[in-house]
Amino acid sequence: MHATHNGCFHQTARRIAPAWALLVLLGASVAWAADGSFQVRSAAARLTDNVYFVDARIDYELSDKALEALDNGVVLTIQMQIEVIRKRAFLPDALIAELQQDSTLSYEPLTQRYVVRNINSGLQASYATLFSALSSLGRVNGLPVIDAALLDAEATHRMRMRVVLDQDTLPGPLRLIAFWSSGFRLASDWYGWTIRD
Amino acid sequence: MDYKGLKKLAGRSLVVAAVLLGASALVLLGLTSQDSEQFGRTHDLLLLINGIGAVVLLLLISSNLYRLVRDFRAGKAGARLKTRMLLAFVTLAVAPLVIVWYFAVQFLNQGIDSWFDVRVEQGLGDALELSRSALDVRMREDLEKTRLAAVQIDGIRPMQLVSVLGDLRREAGAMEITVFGDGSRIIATSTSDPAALFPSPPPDDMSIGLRRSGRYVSLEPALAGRYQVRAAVSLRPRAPGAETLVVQGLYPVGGRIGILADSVEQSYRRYRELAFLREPLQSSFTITLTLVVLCCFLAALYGGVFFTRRLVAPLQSLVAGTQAVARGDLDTRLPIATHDEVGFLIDSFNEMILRLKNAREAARWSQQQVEEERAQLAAILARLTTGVIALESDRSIRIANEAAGLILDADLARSEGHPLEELAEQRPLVAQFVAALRVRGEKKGHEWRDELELRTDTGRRTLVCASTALPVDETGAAGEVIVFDDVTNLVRAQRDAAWGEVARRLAHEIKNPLTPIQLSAERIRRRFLKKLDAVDAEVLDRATHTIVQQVEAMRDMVNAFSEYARAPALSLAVVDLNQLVREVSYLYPARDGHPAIELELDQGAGEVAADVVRMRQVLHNLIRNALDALDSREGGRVTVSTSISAAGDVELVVSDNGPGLDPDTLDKIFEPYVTTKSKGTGLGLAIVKKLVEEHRGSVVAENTEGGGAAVHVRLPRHQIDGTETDNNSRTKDERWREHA
Repeated sequence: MHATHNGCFHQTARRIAPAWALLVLLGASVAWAADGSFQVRSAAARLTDNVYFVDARIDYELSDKALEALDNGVVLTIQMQIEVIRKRAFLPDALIAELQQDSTLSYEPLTQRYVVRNINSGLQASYATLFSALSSLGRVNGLPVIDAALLDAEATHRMRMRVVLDQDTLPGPLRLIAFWSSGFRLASDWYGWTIRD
Repeated sequence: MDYKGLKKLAGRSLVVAAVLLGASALVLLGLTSQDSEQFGRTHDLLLLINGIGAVVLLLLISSNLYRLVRDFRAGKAGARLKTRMLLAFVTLAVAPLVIVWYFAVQFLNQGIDSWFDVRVEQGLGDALELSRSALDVRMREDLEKTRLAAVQIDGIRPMQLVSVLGDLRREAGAMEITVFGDGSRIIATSTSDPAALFPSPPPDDMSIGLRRSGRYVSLEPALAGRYQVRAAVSLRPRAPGAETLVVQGLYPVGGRIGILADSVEQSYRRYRELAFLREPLQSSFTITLTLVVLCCFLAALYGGVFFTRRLVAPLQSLVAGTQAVARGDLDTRLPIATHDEVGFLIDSFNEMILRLKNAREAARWSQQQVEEERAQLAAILARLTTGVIALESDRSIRIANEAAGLILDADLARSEGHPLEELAEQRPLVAQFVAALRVRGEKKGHEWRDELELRTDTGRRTLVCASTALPVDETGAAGEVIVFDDVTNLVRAQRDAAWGEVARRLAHEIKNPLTPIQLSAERIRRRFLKKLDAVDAEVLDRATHTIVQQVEAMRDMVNAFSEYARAPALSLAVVDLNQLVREVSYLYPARDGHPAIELELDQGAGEVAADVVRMRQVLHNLIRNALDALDSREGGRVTVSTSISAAGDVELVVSDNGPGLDPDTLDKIFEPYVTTKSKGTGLGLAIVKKLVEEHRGSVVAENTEGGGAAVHVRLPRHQIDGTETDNNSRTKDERWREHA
């Protein structure tokens, strides 16, 4: 797989060009058209046995770049972040608790299946299609978040959650690209709601 | 350590740190270029190191460049040289860096490309396919086992299923066998995992496969890199509307095939990931290398700035020193920072300045000596009564002493640098002097000695003058020094002395025989007059009478001479000149055709210190002289006036409206025996002049405009404090006369 000198030059030039472009645009945030999106459709907390459980529905749509990486063996880590906040009248709201659930999504070329693994619990499941895998990932049922005793009964509390594609767990060379490319900058907005007994 | 030292140390530390960071980044890059995982771990560190290095260097370079631009715009010494050297440094640094960068990028990219081989990729793909094929056989076997289990289960009551399933699971070698009803309802299950509470739920796609063919089989990844086969078979309902049962079995892919399949899968997956990461890896390498090279370039640039500054600093110091020396500051000493050629140059500069300073001190000392000598010469010249004028080759005055100015009645000191001829246009004495010089110069050149006669208001002025050539100047022309002395008084004194000697000799040699002559003539007359006849007696009488008369005349003449020659000491007293004039004028009433003396006396004319007897004689001589000049003519008038002259002296003027004086004898009218009258001894005005000069006065005769003559006598005014007029209020002429 040795290219000719001329071809090698063009190849080198082709590789150098984005590097220079990146250097020139150092510090500037470049907004590419985002073709993937994470979105929390709905979320709610229910109190069962003095523990608040969260049920949520999340839409995961991977970008082409993320899909390409996934199909080529790159493991994607998706973080689900949940925060419990106590509202205060004249002061900034206080963060009472935060919970992070990390799940990995990978593709097994031998079985040709997508594997979803919960890092926190160690459980994993495989799916024949990406759609099934993402649908499974998007269903959050009865996730225990906080004991009701830890909340002030007199105060108003809010919860909010979001999901983020973790760039830090990407392979090193990809992290540099991910830093500049919106294809790997996938995160949902915060979805918040007030906790009611 | 002072602030400057700390700043310098901090700057150097930063540069060393930046260089070390860049070097360590290069080493890390070299170490990790063969391992993408390690590169991935160190990539962020590399970028951070290089980023920090680049920022530090950029700050340092920006600071230095700002200073350079500021110095360049301000036209500071050395800025241009510094700029040129820096450009040379940059040019020298850029070319090799670009070459190194280009070939390093090439090398890296080719190195990364060498990781990948089409044959390897193909082989891995084939191995994966092979694994799949091998596992397909296993999957079909497991599906068959499940189908057989389903056949045995079919028709068994649910209550009996649990015990049957266990036996079937063991027989089939399955991990788990579960019977699901509609909606994935668990009817019965058997598992080899005692910790499992629930059986593995059927996947979403299983129902599709079961509906399509009544069978489902899939290979699934399990925990710990293992695989499992999920096989399911649906049972036909025994009665219409009855529940459809699904038997699902989970079979482990163990043994050698499972390990190999996992190995193949891992290798294939790793290769795919690497292949996918190839371009990002190359881009990352390129970026990191570019940053490292950029750091090296910036370090080289800063090094260029640093060394340029160090190289140019002594030159700047040298330029500043040169400028200081150009301004005349010879105390400048440049610090010798280095011991190389530049240090030697600065050392030589310092030595040169020292020598220059010594030379200047010597020159100043010499100049001071010259000035002192010049001042001494000027003092000597100023004290000299001899006039000295040094003329340049262009006849301009180089130097003239005060005596020269006094003699020539001109301010020669102020005219230094100007041609003598220029002054001649304003000062008549100088004009006569220049004309005399020119005549003698034309005849005799620069070397001559002669006596000059100048006409002044107070009579002739006799100068003994000598000219000497000065050394030839750079143009080849030579100036001259003219030394001259006013010998008017000397000549006059010599003349007076000669006349006095003549008078004494006349008195001695002539007066003595006169008495015997007269007595002899009278004796002859007495003895022979009566004895002779009338005719002879008349002749004798007339002859003896003539002899006696002429002897008397000669005696008068001799007496007058005696009077002229006699010089007894003055008996000075304060005399009111006006009163003296009145007294003397009373003695000349209007009679015998002589007019009365008209007096025009200025009451303000002060008293004079004079010998009243001699002043009376002066008045007598002048008035008598004036009356004689009128010679009993009609309308004759003699006027005596007194006044204060512009110089503050008392001026006495005796004038008449007679025929006036002969212009040819005007200059010599005060010399003995110079007279225009038919009678008289010719000594009257000479005596007047002598007496006036004894009183430190001056006398001048002139013809008046309306006809007639006037004699001006100037006497020093007697001040109230008993002194005469001080020197400051006198004219130059009088001061000079006193000086002489």
